[in-house]
Amino acid sequence: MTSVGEGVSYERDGRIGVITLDRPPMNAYTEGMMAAFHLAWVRAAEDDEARVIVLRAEGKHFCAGADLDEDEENAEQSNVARDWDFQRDLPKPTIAAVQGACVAGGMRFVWPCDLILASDDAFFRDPLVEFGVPGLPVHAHTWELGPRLSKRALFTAERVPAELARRRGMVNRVVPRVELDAATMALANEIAVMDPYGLAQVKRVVNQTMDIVGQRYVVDRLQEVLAGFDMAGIHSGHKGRS
Amino acid sequence: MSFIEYEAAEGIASITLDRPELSNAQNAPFLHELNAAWEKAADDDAVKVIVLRANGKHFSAGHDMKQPREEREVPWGGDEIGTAPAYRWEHDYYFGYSRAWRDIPKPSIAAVQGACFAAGLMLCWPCDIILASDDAYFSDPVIRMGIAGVEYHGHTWEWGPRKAKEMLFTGGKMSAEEARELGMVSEVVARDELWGRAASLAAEIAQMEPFALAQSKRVVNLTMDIIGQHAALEAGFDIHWTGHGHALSYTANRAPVIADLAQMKSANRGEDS
Repeated sequence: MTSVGEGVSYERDGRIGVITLDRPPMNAYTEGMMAAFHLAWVRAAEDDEARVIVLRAEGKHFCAGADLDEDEENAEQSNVARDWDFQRDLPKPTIAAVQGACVAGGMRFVWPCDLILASDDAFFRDPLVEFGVPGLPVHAHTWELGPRLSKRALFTAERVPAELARRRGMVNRVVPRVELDAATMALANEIAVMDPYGLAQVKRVVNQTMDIVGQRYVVDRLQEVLAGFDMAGIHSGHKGRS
Repeated sequence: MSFIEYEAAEGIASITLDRPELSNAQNAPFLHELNAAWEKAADDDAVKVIVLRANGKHFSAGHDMKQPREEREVPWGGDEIGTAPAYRWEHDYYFGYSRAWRDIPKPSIAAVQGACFAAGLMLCWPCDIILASDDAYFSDPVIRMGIAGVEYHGHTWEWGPRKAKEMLFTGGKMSAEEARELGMVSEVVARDELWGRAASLAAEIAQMEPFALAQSKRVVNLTMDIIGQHAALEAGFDIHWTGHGHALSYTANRAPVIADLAQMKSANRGEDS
């Protein structure tokens, strides 16, 4: 694996470009890691040999969210909307493989991927209500989980287990933990033999359908709404629960 | 030659695909005859509910890819320069028929057994209710011909965006039970009970007041149109056509798909297209 910056590496395995979060065991991200994450996607998109891109993480957990020990002046400086759109719309199939905890900003890494595979020990959680903030700055919850489960998960900050996420359509398949990497690469290689332009247009027709029903507008607009909240409270460890 | 059987009795029109020797593969005469049956059922005041079913082992294998080129109605390739005539033909018939059947103001029930492949989906998706036998399976494998799915992009609406991408990227199969979990199929029954269950459900619905049924259908369809389904289906048709345009250019006007049927079947999976 080749490091592309802080805590993120990229390598190509045959026709598959593999981006790895490499700050185990929690893969808590810093501002520098966010920047490296975007660079890794640019690199994978520009790698003509990479027909399909896989996103995975080293360690027990996929990502525990932001590293709260980071200085707040450094925090939340990346262009979340730009990076999100780039990852979501690059014209190659993308697959995320999630194990263990996928918390807060960890979901922002996987949601723009086309397919999500999860191990049976994986769970998803947005705890920001505990800090007095109405969930992640990128609101994909309602699209991924449906409105009622999203509200419940946002109100309570509870975990959404992989199997429930699968039933709601957010996760494509749930596999045993030890099989996650192999199942992900097998699916990626199955897809990688298809005609690249056909794959690009398949991705486009589904994304465009979601855009027509308003997904892009809601994600972008809500980011403006949510940006009005004081994120500094999170970095000072403030808990909004009372 | 007839490809479609039609009968109407006790308020129920039964339209039966009848080309079982070719797994109900659809050519242009098949589709025109099928559309005539839908229109007949729509126009007959005695018909309250429409059932769409298929003779043979499979519901439909999709468009008839074995048809000799000179018998094809779609005007593309050969001496035909430019894609406008074929684009218009596919919009009127492949896309337009499905769209029209979806909005006929009478409840419709599809009864699906065996394979429902590619354009086979475009026959059952416009129906209001889909029943499937336990041996039914669904697939849109046209990615193996370099095309981004069939003309009528119901995939995202029926399966959700992530499952739609998985099905379209891999060309894989979905079981009747999985289609039921996702909301596309409402009931899965044993193969020998399929037509009986379709008939009993149709009879139950046929008891209701026809205008109330028409408006019940309309309120759901309009809800889907208001959130963008109609516009998205039209836009999806155009993306489908970028695939045909690409293939016609790539093959010097010889073929509207990248790989031919034989290549698709052998799924020449290790080589570049």
